[in-house]
Amino acid sequence: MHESYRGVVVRELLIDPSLHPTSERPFVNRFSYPATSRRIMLLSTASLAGLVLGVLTPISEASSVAVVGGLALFAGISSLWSP
Amino acid sequence: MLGTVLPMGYGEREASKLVIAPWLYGLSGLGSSIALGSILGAFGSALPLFGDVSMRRFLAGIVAGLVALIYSMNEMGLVRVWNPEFRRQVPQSWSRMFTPRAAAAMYGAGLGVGFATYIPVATYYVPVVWSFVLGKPLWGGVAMSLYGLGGTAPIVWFGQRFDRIEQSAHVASVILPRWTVPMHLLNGIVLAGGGAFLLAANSIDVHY
Repeated sequence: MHESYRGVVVRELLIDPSLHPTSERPFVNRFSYPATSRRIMLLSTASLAGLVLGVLTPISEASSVAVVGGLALFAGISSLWSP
Repeated sequence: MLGTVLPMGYGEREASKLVIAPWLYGLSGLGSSIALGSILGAFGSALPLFGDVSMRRFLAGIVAGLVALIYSMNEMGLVRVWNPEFRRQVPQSWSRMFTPRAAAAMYGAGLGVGFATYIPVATYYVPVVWSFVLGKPLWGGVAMSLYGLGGTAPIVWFGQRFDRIEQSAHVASVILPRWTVPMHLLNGIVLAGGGAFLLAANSIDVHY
């Protein structure tokens, strides 16, 4: 296939996903990371919320295991992304 | 695992057998994650850490909190932190060497411990570190059981819901890759919140 023609085909597929055999594949990476400042803001807000809850909640083995267990649950669900 | 364990269930269904391969995978994964947490706790209890039980709890909270905060920045894509992992896949040959049900159980056992394969998110290290430093097999097993539950329950659910290989292939190759970035961001957020909670709560506790 001529190089320029192949480029046209690829562009066609991106413009009209119905032409693509699996139709959704060109849009696999739909989400991207937000801007750095926005990520820092998200991180700061989450840390602040955790800090306030940590100060207000009396610590015990049960509350520790609830938080750590919650993180473990997240890690487990995310293991679905393991290849 | 979507593309490995679920087809074993489809094979059982086609052969008009009871579909139990995903359940065996789930139970085995849950069991191995509980065993890992308990073993970490047992090894941790052998550590010659100073202080009594409350000092161990304090140390476990502080260390796990720090690990969580450091890895939260990693998950948010702000810094790159080394993730200790083997970066291996479970052997595909098991599906040929063993019966589908035995292979499903073995895959579950391998993935339930986590560290033997790829670790997609650094959140995994927080319960591992906490279980080890706390040094209590019971609580280690409880914390890590949730890792096993989170990893295997969706597979069992998909196993009940899907009956064609195209469905699991669609989830594995289209749906999951699309949600990779939100998954990392969400892990970063819960790591930051959980890490700050552990640090603050344990510091206040010692203060009083």
